[in-house]
Parts: sequence; structure tokens; C-alpha cells
Amino acid sequence: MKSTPIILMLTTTLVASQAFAQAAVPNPAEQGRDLYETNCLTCHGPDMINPGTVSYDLRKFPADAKARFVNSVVNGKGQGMPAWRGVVTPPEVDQLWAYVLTRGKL
Amino acid sequence: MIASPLTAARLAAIAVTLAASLVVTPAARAQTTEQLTQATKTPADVLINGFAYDAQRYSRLAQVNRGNVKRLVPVWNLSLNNNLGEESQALAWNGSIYITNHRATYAIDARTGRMRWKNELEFDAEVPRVVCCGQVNRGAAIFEGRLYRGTLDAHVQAIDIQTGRELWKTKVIEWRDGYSITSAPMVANGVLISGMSGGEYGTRGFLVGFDPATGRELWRTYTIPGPGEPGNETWPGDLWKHGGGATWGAGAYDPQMDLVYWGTGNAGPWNGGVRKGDNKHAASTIAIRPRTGELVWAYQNTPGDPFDFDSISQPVLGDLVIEGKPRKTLMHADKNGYFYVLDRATGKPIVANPFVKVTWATGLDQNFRPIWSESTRKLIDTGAEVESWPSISGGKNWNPMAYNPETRLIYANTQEGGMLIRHTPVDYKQQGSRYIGVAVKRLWPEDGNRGALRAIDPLTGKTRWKVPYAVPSFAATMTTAGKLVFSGDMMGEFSAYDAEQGKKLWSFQTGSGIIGQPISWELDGVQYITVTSGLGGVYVLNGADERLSTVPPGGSLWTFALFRK
Repeated sequence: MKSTPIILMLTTTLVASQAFAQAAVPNPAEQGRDLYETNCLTCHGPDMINPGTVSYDLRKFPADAKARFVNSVVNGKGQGMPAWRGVVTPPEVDQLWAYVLTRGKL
Repeated sequence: MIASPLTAARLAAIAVTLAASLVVTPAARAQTTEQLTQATKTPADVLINGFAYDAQRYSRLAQVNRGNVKRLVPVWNLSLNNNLGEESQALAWNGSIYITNHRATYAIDARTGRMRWKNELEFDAEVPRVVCCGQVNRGAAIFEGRLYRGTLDAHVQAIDIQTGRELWKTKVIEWRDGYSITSAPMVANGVLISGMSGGEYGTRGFLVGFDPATGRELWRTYTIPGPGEPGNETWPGDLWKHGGGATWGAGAYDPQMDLVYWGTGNAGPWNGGVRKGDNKHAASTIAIRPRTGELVWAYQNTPGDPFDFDSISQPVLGDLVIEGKPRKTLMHADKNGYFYVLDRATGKPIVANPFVKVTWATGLDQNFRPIWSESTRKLIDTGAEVESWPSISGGKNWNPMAYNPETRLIYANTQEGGMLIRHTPVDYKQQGSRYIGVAVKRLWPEDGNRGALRAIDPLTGKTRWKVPYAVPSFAATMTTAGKLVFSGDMMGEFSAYDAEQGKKLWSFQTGSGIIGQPISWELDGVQYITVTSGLGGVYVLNGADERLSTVPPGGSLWTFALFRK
């Protein structure tokens, strides 16, 4: 059949593009974890584990309050949380949010 | 009513008043260099971080002693309006107590506990991005009527000690480059000396000297030598530029030798595989001349520091009898787990022994250079995960220890943890960003006790007695002529122990965790003991210890005295 090579070619291309997609577009939560470990862990704890006293326990951040999360990261909050504007970009705040939703169990 | 004309008599009175205001009275001039040098002879006051230039944290007051300490009761408490941690040591002088945190400086009426003045600090909302281990301040210095302190945004500030008014504020360095100041400054031989923090952010450590009157910088001595300076060759390429060696602890001073002693912090980045070499003078103990900043000697506790082994806990100066001879020594319990006794004139080690579990080194050679264990060599050569003790928290962290010349013992809150550590890729990316390159998992002793209050013989490193803590204490210790040891713990309990036997004789539950530095002072013939309560600092933030969820933050200052019938 004439079409066979084409189908094979298509299949190969699809598989290749899926592999490419996996390599080029990593999981946002994983990217968020890397950002967290660089910038946030020192106050919020490894895998987000902390007593939730001097610093906020991110494992309990309401899952429906993304806007509040973004505001806290960008502008800082309360006595302790610094403003991260200028260091963390809006897409990176999205990645951090994706990681926060894992509750540190990624 | 018409104002009465100025009579000759009133004019004369005004002239006298004006003249008097220009005469500097002894009270206004305190503290002088002479008074600071003689601080051990005036135990009613606490004029210096460490109580005296020797930093022994030994109070010569003995009204409170082992027989009566059970009668200790709180006499006042003042809120410090801060939820991020109180690591500071108070100063006591002329009927006032002075205390700092990262937000403000307070003067308090010592008799009543009421605030006399407050000087609040302002800083950019972004500043805490470059603070690795808690937004804190560890104390002030006083000299000639002024109080001096560092700020989180890397300034040094002078305050009029009578009024609380700012006299000058000098920018030490740009905080955006990763620098902050959390440590207590010191005035030695008329020069104000400050350290700096930032060893996790690609900084280059230094000490800096100022004219106390004006805030003008007199000198700046880097702990990491630049090109052409001895020791620069111990760094590959230009890694010295971000080599760490931050001076984030407190110093000590020997006025006879005119040497100021300070510890330097971890080498940067933490990943020791990318900066093979000794990396001088990170993780070292150094001596400088206070008038010029000249580096007189340096002893490197941890060459090539692979484990975040800061040597910054405050050096303690003591005259010890060693092999029958009196020696002028410097005592230091390093994060690397070894207790060092150095000759403080030369920096040459006399003895050094482990005081906690140590596996990263198998011992020290005849030149007191650590011999790396197989696991340390594997980590450096391959970056692969290894088990190592002590952990990055060290055998003892920043919290100062005390020395009692009567018991000849050191009292220190120690850390009892280990770790699994491996290397991760690291590059210096941008100013003020984290610069680490290791991944760590904590290991804890099987008995579950992550810390202890230890009485340590400085000449052997051996523990004479110890009181274990489930949650480790990061508080300083104090010892007194009443043969007592005072310290607090992370759960909020402030306790007194028999300095000889270690038996707990008294305790009081404060409102938050204790990570501060107790002092003792005297007024109107009464001995008082003062300590901050206020949870914060590195362990509660990233120690992942959820037992602390029942300890609320909230800074305050407590003062105790014997109950009067």
C-alpha cells in the first residue's frame, strides 16, 4: 500500500513531537518547585513543611485564592513576606502557584 | 500680659544654663573607652555585647545563686511589637535597658519596664529577599553617649542614647547585592566596627570601621583577599568576588594586645566542588587592629569549607592554665564540630577536639588542619550524596556561649544533627540571588534529641554535663558568680541550672520561643536578669519542625528578680 509509509511517517512525527513537547514544556509545578527551593524554602520550609507561626504554612493556602497569592508574592505581606516584584516574573508566579497547589507533595 | 523685660540676673542665668549645656557631663559622655575596657569591674551595668570585651558572658553578680534562684519571679515585661524573632542582647546602663530588633531600637526604664523612647527603622519591602535565616538583629554597642546598631538594609545607625534621636546613618553597602546587617557592632579603641551578612547571596565578606562621632568610614578589610593579596591564590579564577566569608557574628577585643577578634562565615557557594582550594579566609577566625583594620592573623577552621561551616559564633577570650603555664587564649566552638583553643596573640591553635558527633573529618593533623574523611572526599570529587555530621546547622550555630572562670567550663547550646548532602549545579546569576549549589536532607539522632545544653571542658572538648533538648535551642547562654547558668529554649522556657552539676533549679514559661541572649544587671542593690522571648530565626523557618506549631511568635522583653517577702 502506498499510504503505509505516509502513515508510518505521520506516526513517527507524532511520537517525535510528543517527546519534543515533553522536553520543551516542563510541568509548571516542577518549575515552581525549583523557584520555590531557590527563593522561598528558606522561610517556608523544605517541601513546604513548617510550623506556620513565624512564616505562613503554604500547604493551607486556599486553592481558590490565586489572586491573593499573586498579590502577596508581588507586593509582600505583613511583617515578614518581602515583595518579589522585579525578581519573579508573572509566568513564574503562575509556576509557583502550580507548585503551591501540590502542597509540597510533588 | 506683657512679658517682663530681661533683667541682668535672668540674662546671667541663661548664660550659665547655655554654658552648662555645652559642658559634656560624665553621664552624657558614657561610655568611654576606659569604662568599656573596665567593664568587668562594673557588673551592675552591661555595656558590651558579650558583657565585656572578653565576651565571656560571665556576670560577676551573685545575689541570685543556687540557694535562692527558686525565688526568681518576673518583675516586668514589654512587648517589642515584632513577630519575626528576638535574637538581641540587651544592654543595661544608667537606669535604662536598651534592646534592638530588626524593626526598632528601644530604651526602657529599668525600674518600671516602661518604654522611654523608640527609634523605628524604615526599609524597602524587598529587603528581606536577601536575608537567609530570619529577619533579626543581634544587638547594639554604646559609646560616648551614643548607641550604634546595624540595619537589615545594610546601614549603620547612631542614636542619641538620651533622646532616641538618630544622629547619623551611614550606608555600608548596597542591600540589592545580597548584603544585610544582623550582627551587633563593637567599639574598640575608639573605632566603631561592624560585620555584615549575606553568605548565601554571592557576597564578599568584610569588616568595616567608622568614626563613631560622624559615621565616616575609616577602613574596610575584606575577609576574602583580592588579587595580589596573600590567599587570593586559594580561589579558582574570579570566584573570590563572591566567596562569602561574611562576618555575621559578634566580635571580642583584647585591649592589652589591641586586637579585635572575629569569625568569618561559610565559603560561597556552599558547593565546595566548584571552588577547589582552601578558599581563604572563609570559615576562619581572624584578628585585626581596630584603628586600621590591618589583618594581623587568620586561622582557617575549615579550609575549602564543604558544608556551610561558618566560624562566626562569638570568640570567647580567657586566660587558661595549660600544662602548668598561663596562656592568653581564644575559645571557639565551631559549626564544624571542633572546639578550638587558640593562642590569641598569634592565632596558633593549642588544642582542638570534637564536642559533638563529627564524621566529615577523621581528625586534625599536626598543624590543626582537618583531615577529610572518605565521604567528604567523595562529595568534593563526585558531588554524589554522602552522609555527614554535623549538618549545615553545625555543632553549634551563631548563638554565643558563656565561660565561667570559677568552674572553668564553657556553657553552650549545641546542635545534634547530621545530613545527606549532594551537589547541584550552581552559577552566580544575578546580584542578590541565592548562591548555594547543594541539596540537603536532615538526619537526627536516634534518641530524638536535636540539641543539648552542654558544659564543655575547653581543653578536652569533653562534655562535663548536658541537658538534652527535643527541639534544639538557638539561644545564647549566660553564667554568673552565683554558680548558675541561664538559657532559654525554643518552646519558650527560660531556665537556670547549677553551673557545676547541670541540675535545673528554676524555670519560667515565657510567651513565645527564646532565641535571644540573657543578661544580668543590678540597680538599687537588686540583681535582675533580662532576656527576650520571641520565636524566629533559621530553625523555625526551615527546620520543618511542626512541634513548634504550638509556640506563638510575638517578641517581648522579660525581666526577673528575687521575690521580696
